[in-house]
Order: sequence, then structure tokens, then C-alpha cells
Amino acid sequence: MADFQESLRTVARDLFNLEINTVIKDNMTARKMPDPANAILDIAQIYATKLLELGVPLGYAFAEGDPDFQKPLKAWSKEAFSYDRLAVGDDTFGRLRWAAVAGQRGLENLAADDRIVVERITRNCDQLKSLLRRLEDSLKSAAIAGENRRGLNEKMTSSRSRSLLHLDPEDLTVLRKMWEVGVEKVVMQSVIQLDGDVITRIQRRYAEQDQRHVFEFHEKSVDMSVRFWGVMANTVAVFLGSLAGVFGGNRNPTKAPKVVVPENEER
Amino acid sequence: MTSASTPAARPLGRGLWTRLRAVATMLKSGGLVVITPPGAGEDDSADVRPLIQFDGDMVTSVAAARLGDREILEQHFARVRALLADLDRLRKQLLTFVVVVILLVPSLWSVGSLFASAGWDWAAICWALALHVASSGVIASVVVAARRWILGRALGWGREEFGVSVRDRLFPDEAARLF
Repeated sequence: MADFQESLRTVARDLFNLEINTVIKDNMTARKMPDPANAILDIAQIYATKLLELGVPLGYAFAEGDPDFQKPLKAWSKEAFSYDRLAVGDDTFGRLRWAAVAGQRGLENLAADDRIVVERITRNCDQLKSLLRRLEDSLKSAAIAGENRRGLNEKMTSSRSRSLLHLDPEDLTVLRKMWEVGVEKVVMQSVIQLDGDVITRIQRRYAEQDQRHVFEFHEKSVDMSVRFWGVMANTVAVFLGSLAGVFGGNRNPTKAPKVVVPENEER
Repeated sequence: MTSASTPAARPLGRGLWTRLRAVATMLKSGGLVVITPPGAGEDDSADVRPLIQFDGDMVTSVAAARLGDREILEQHFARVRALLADLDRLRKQLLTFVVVVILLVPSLWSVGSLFASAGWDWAAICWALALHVASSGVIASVVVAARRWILGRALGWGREEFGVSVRDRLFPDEAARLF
């Protein structure tokens, strides 16, 4: 319960910092995010595919035993890699993390875009490793620790498709973002901080005049995010205002400081 | 997640229970996703796919082929705006409910104490009786609603199906009492 409260507190704290990312994809589907355990495996699979594409020999990284990750990438043996080696556990993300680090160091002619994606893989694998370590007991009690996709699907069938792993809001938010972004290239990113600072990052090739439609699209996304922030901030403001009204003797405690959000205007 | 055809519709659905379930689904999946085109299946291709998370962060994926299609993008953002407006409406309803439960109900009970402290015992007794009757009514409604829900779930039918088609065929007496 205390963990859940802390997790909600973290989500509320994150309200002070908005991050809006725009991603352009060649093709995408309307697929929903699966249950957390499968989503974790999805992320591992996407990262593995990207590293293989870039030329990291994952067969070595996932070989039995304890591979020497300090060896230069060129010296890694080129054994075959099987996706069955990807499992729900910190070991999978530890190996992916070291493979990504080796890729950053050893891949020659790595494009700037790809370098950012490999850095993201390293960072996210670290986060997932610590998440899975924290969840070790839950994974064991759900009997999915170390299970690969096949094992997980068998467990899912026997659990009548109930979710096997429950995450608190903070972890779910992090996992959801990782699943959604995957290894896509973020073309524009805006970070809005409560102190008024706004930082916008744009990939160089989208900063040209003929890419105005991308700017407009991103601008609308920022607008939506701020609107949603308004809804959340209003909830907190009204609730706190009500409490303040009770303790301060306000006769109309439902009136709280209102966060003004622009309503339905067209830009 | 939503399939509103016009921005004026209520994307979360109608009826408080349905709307709360829609929000619970969003909470369970870690954010809101409004896929364009509306009603796209799991394997159908999507044009725009924004994820709005509960900490305010947003990831918007757009199909490269649709990037310059102003009409589709306008329709998409109109749907997202409608969803946010509906979410705001629901928030207001819930907050009003919470404030009433937290603030008004204890205040009602404290009125009885005021009567008693003023020496108007008869008024305090009448007040307590009135509250007792009112709260019994609320509890009874909750029990009936819960019973109807449990029966509906146990029989594997939605409430509407249960109400319309099953009540006359299977157990008319019980159904007549419940509906």
C-alpha cells in the first residue's frame, strides 16, 4: 500500500514536467499494449531486433554461461541467436544492455539517429533490470520468472487470460512509454517545466521550412498534452481546495483555485 | 479506445458505470490511446496513434503517408479534444460526488448534535430518524443494484439482455421484483 502511494506520488510529481514526443512511422497498427509480462517481452524483442539489424551479434551475448562483454565487438563469436532466449527476467535485459553498450563502442559508421536509439536501449534496459529485480517475488509467485514467450503464453492460457503481473501506476507508465516508443526515431520533442521553461528538440532535417506540417502536428500534440495536464491539475487543485475550505472554514469548499485551460479554440 | 463519430459525442460512453469502466481501462493500460481511424482493429493499419499518459507526457505516432493530410489530422485532434472534454466532465461529476460524500454527509449528522446541544431533543430524534430512513434507502438501492449485477454476471449476460429477454422466460417472479 505504501509502495502504491509512493507510486501515485511520483506520477503526481511528474505532472510538473511534461514531455511531448512526435514520432513518424512508415506503418503502424492499432494494436493495444498487451498485459505487462508480454509487453516486457515485446520490448526485449524489439530491442533485440534493432541490435541485430545494426550488426550486434546477439548469439554471443545470449550464449550459455557468462560471456565476456568487455571483449571488443569484433571478437564476439557469430553464433545463431534465438528469440526463445528472451525471457521475463533481469538477465535478459542485462545481456541486451551490455550488447547495446558494446554496439555503441564497437559499431563503426553508426548513424547519429541510430546512436540515440542504442543509447535509449541501454538506458531503458537498466530501468527494466531494476524493475524486474524489484518484482522478483511477484514474478516467482506468478510462476513467470525466466519464462520466454512460449512459456508465458502457456501460463496465460491456464490463467484464462487474466493478467499475470500487476504493476503499480509509476511502473506501468514507464513500461507503457517504452513499449509505445520502442526503437522509433523521435523527430520532435518538447519538454515543458512548471517553472515556465520550454525546451524543444527537433531533428535537423525536420527543421526546414518545407516541414511546416510536422511543426503544426507537433504543436497540436503539445496543445493536447497541456489540455490534459489542465484536467489533471484541476482535479488536484479542486481536491486540495476542498480540503483547505474544510479546515479554513470556507463556506463553499468546492470552489478551488482554477487552472485555466483554453477550451476548444482552433489554432 | 474510443469510437466517437463526432466531437460532440461522449467518447467515454453513456451512463456513469460505463464511463467509469472506460477510465479504469485507461488506468490499467497506463494511458489514453485514441486511434485514427476510429474503430480500427488490432491488425488494421493506423494513421495517428497518440498516447497520453497520466503524468501528462505524450507520445504521438503518425503514419508518414498521412502527415500532410490536414483533414484527417483535424478530425483526429477533434476526437482527442472531445475525449479530454468528456474526461473533464466525468472528473467534475466525480469530484462533486466525493465532496458531497466527504463533506455533506458528516455535516448532516452534526446537525443532530447541534439540535441536542440546543436542548431540542425531539428535533434531534426526528433528524436522526430521517437520516436513518434516508441512509437505509441508499443502502437498499446499493444492495439491489449489486444483486442485479451479480445475477447478471453469474448468468453470463449483460444487464440489458438480462433485463429485456431473460426476466420473462426464466424466473419471472424474481425478475419482476428486481426490475
